[in-house]
Amino acid sequence: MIQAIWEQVLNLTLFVVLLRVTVPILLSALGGMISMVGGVVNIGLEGIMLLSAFSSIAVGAATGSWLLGVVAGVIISILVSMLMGFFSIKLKVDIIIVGFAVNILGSGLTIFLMNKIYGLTGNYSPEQLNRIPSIHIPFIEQIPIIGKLLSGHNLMVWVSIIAVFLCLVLLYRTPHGIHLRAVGESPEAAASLGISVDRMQFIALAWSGLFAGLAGAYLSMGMTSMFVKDMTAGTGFIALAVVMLGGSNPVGILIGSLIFGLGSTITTIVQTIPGNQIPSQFVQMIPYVVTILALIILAIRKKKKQLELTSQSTTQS
Amino acid sequence: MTVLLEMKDIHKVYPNGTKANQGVDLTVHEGEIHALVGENGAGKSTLMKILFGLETPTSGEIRYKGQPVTFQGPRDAIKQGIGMVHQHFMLVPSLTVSENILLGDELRKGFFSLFRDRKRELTEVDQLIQRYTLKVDPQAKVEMISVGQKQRVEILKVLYRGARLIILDEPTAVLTPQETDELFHSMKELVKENYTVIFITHKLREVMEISDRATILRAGKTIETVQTKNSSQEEISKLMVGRNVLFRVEKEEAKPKEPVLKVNHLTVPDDKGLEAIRNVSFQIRAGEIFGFAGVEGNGQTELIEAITGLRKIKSGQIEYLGQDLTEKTVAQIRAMKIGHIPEDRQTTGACLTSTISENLILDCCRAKEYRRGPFLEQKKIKGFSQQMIKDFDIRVQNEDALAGSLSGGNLQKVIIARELSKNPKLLIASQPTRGVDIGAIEFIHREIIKKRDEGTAVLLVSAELSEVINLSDRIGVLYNGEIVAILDNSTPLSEEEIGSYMLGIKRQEQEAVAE
Repeated sequence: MIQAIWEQVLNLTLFVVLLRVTVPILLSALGGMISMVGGVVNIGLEGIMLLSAFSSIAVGAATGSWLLGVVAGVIISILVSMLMGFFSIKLKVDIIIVGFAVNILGSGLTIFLMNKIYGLTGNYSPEQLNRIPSIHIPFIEQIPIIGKLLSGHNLMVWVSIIAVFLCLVLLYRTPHGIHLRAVGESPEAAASLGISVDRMQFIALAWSGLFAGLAGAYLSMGMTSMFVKDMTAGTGFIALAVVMLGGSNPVGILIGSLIFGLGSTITTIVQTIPGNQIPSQFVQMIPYVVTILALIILAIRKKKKQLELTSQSTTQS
Repeated sequence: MTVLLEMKDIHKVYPNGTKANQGVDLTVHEGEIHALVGENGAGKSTLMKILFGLETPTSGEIRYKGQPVTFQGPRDAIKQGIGMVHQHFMLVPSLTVSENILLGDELRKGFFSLFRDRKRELTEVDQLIQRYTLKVDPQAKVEMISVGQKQRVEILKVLYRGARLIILDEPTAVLTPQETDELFHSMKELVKENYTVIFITHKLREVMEISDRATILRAGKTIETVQTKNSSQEEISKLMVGRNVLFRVEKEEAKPKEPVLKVNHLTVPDDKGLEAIRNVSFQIRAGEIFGFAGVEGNGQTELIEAITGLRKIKSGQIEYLGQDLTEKTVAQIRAMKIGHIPEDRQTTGACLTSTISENLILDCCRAKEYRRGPFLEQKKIKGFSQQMIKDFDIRVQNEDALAGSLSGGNLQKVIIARELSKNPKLLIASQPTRGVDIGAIEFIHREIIKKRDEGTAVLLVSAELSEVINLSDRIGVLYNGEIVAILDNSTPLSEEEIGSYMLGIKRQEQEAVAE
C-alpha cells in the first residue's frame, strides 16, 4: 500500500492531484487573508464560493463561454461581499453573524435555484459545458518529467500562483496595501491620518469576494464540470484555518494551502488504491488531523515569537 | 510676539449633557511653548480635540493666523498646519518607522502611480530625521522600538505634514526621566525654528521647566494665563485646584510596633526565568511606611507580585504575622487582611466593564454580609457603595456608572476605597498616584498616612522619588534586583542622596542592609 502511494509520487500523479485540490483552498485563503489584513474576518467564504460555483456554471452553460461564467461568478461574489460589508460596516452587525448568514444563504439559495431553474435536487451537470481550459505548453509537454510538472494544468492553477505574487506586491509594495494593513491593525491611527477605515474595509471585502469567486468558479467549471449541492464541503473553513496558520503573509498562505491540499490528496489517493485495507473513516480523518497538527505548530511558533519580542524589548530599554 | 491662535469663549456640551468646556479662552503666541494645565476632567483634552477638528464646539470662535477657521476633521487642521501627538500613540506596530511617518501620504511611482517609491520615501524620512535631530531608525518596525522613540515618530509624522503648531497631549506620561529630557530638548529646538508648541500636562515641575506661558483650566473654564517665569509651582497649583495644595505631606512621626511582614532571602524570577529579585531581605512593622525607591524595572513589580501571590518565587521566605505566604493563593492572601493597590489600575486594579459598585465589592462579594443565599444583597451593596463614594470623594453620577468611564484619579480612588475599607494590616501600594491629578494625590497620600497611624504596615513602591521621600518612614533602594540600601527617613532625605543609590553608584555595607 505504501508502495502504491510511492509509485504515484514517482509518476507525479500525486503532484498533479495536489495542484488540483490546492487551487480552491489557496484562492479562497488569499481572499480570507486580505480581508483579515484589513481587519474583517470573512467567515462567509464557504457561502460565497457556493454562490460563485453555481452562478458561474449556470452562466457558463447558458452562454457557452467559460470566461463569461467565471466573470459572472466573480461579480456575484463581490456583490455578496459588498452586502456583507453593508451589514457589518454600515449597520454594525457582528461580522461573524453576517458570515454565517452568508454561508447558510449560499447553501440554501443554490439548492433552491437549482430546483427552480433546472428542476434538479442533487446535482446539475450540463451536457455541453466549456470548462475552464487546461494549458498545454508545446514542446515542454513532450519532455518526460518536466512536461508533467509544468504542462497540462488548469488555467486556474496558474491564476492562483499569480495571485500569490499579486498579493505580495499589493500588500508590501503599494500604498493601497499599507493602508489595508494600517486599517486592520490600528484603525484609529489610520483614521487620524485621514484614511477612511470603512472604505478600506469595503475594499478588503471586495478583494476577498474576488478571490473566493475565482475559487468557486474553479470548483464547478475547472475541477469538475458540474454543480453539486454543498460541493465546497468545508473548503471555505479549511481556507480560514490556512489564514490562521499563514497569517498575513501570502507565502505563508501558499505553504499552508499546500499542507492542507496534501492532506486531501493523500485521502483521495489512498481511497482509490485497489485493495485498500484501511477503513475509509480513518482515511477521511487525514485532513482534520493535519488541521490539528498545523494549529499546534502555529501555537508553539507564536509563543516563541512572543518570547523573542519581550526579550528584544527588554534588552532595548 | 504675534498671536498665532485665539480660541474665544469655547463651549462644548456632549450629547449626554456633560459640559466639558464652558467658556474657555486660549491665546497662543507664535514661537512659544504654551502649557495647558488643569486637573483631570478640567477640559484640556476636549479643547485640544476641538482645535484639531476631532470635536466640533457647541459655540465659540477659533482664529488661526488672524482668520476665523472651522475644522470638520483632522485633515482640515493638518492642512492649516496644526498637528497633534496623541497621548495614546497612533502608530501601526507592524509597519516600519518610515511607513508610519508617511502613512496616508506615501510617495508613489510607476504604473498609474500604483506603487510605493521606497527609495525616495527613505531619503525623505532620513532628511527629516537629520533636520530635527530626532534620532530613530527609519527601517525599524515600530513594535520593536522604545516608547521614547515611538513618540519621536509621532512628532516626525506631524512635522512631515508641515505642521507649524504642534499639540502634545501629556507627552511625558509614558516617558522615563531621560526620555523626558530628550523630548524637552527637541521641543526647545523646534521653538528655535519658530514652531509653536502647546503642551498639555498636569505635572507642574515640567510646566516650570519648559513652558513660556501657561493657561490654567479648571472645571471647563479658563482661570488664568500666566508667564511661567513670573509664577511659581504653588501659584499654578492653587489656580488649578482652587485652593492651597500641600507639597510636603503633613504627618506625625511614626510609632512603629511589631513586625508585620518579614521577607528573608527572597529570590523571584521574571517572565523569562531570570532573577528579577535576588536575595532580598527586609521587614515592615505595624504603623510605618516602608518605601521602595528605584528606577523602574529594577525588580519592584516582581517583588510586589511575589508578596501578593501573583508570581511564584524561586527561594526564600515571605512571613506575614507568623504565617508563610509563599504557598498561599491570591484569594487566601487577600483574605488575610492584606490590601493591594496594583500599579496598573486599568488591567489589574479594576474591571473596566463592571460598575463602580461591582468593583467596590469584588473582594468581599463572597462575604456573608453581602449575600442572601446564592444571591447578592443588592440593597446593602448599594449602601456600601454610596458610603464609599462619599468617604473617598469619588466624583461620579452614581454607583452604577461603569468603572471604565471614570477618569484616572477617580478610578484610583475606587480601588483605594476597596483596599482600605477592608482595614488591612498590611497595605501594598504600588504607584498609588501615577497619572492622578494633584488634588487626588493629596487625598490619596492623606488616606495612606491615616491608615499608617491606625497601625497598618504600608509597603510603598513609586516611580516618583518625591512621593517615596514624602511618605516613607524608611526607604529601601532597589538596584538591579537587590536592596542596596535601607535608609532612615524620619528626617526627609534629599533626592540626590537616594539617587546615587538608585543608579548603583553608592551601596551600603551588606550587614547594614541585612539589619
